[in-house]
Amino acid sequence: MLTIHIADNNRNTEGWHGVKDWLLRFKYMQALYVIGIVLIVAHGAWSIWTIAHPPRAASAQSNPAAAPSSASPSVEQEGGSGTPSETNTITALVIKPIVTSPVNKVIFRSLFYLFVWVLLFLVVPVAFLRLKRFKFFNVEFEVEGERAAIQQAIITTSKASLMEYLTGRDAFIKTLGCMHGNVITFPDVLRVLLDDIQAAYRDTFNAGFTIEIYEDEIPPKYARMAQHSKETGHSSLWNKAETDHPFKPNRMVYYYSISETSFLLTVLSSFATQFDAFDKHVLPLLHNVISTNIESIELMVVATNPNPAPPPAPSPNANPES
Amino acid sequence: MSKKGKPINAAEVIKRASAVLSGPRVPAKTAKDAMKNVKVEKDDPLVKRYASR
Repeated sequence: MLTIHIADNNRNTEGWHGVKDWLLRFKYMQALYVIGIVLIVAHGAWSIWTIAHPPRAASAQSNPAAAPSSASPSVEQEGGSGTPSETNTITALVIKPIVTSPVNKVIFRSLFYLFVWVLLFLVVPVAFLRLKRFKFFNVEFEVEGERAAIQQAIITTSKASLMEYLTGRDAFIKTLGCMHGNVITFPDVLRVLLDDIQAAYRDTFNAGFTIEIYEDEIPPKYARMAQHSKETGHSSLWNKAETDHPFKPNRMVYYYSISETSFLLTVLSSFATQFDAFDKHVLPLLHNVISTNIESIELMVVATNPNPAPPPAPSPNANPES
Repeated sequence: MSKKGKPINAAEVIKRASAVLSGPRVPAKTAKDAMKNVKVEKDDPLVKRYASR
């Protein structure tokens, strides 16, 4: 019996929770929308009821038989005189009885209120980007916000995925593949990985760019961007304006110091694709990862080499205490 | 790489380094593979953030 009671209590609780959840799901806006429609319809119905059953005081004052009897003689009178007027037109003859009818007035007024109410609830969500698509008679509105947001999120996620790849095992193995004998050079690895990224951008985003790598050299046309990159330690980015010359390329330049005496200048250019903040960070990340991978490989080579070469002799000018 | 808090064992490290250096030098996937098939759900917070802009 105890079990049955518990079960009943649970069922009651679940039922109440079910109703509560259903009520919570029924948001305030929808409730307001439905209440408004119900009130408008009720008001219309009440108005028609009032017309059909007028109060005694009001019915005593009014003279309902006067209106139809007064309308026909005036039309006949004006028609007979032959003077053109508004009441003789077909519009006036057809529309006027409809419009002047008190019941029709109530119906049209209620329809107008409904129209305004429905329109209000269709337009307001669009203004707040909640409604993405709606159809109003034959006119269909669609807001592209969500689709564009998904596209943007995919691009961002893909570039984050690229960063994951570059810092992962596969990029390390690719770096290792650039080692010939005991020789591995930074520019070789950089070229291989940039080619890989270039292919990935072309396939994923349909975005192409060209790669230029300069060793210990800064071409005059990149001098300012290289200087900016050197000073800030970040990629220097320049995207042309929409109205700019079509054959002016977007550019990204990164200055990377390999040692105290040597450096690399990596330049990416594209006529069609603009570089964004993610690309700006991918380039330094790529250089840092290559540097770390090469250092690891060098240590591995040294650790596994049974006959390591002696370290270079110190120069005679060097201070022995330093 | 020692992941269990044990002291670094030089012989183990050299053995692993040797295995890496003599192992395959072709990666399992390229950058293209990494960037391909990235899926983002509609209710992802990132999408909501972009949509609300």
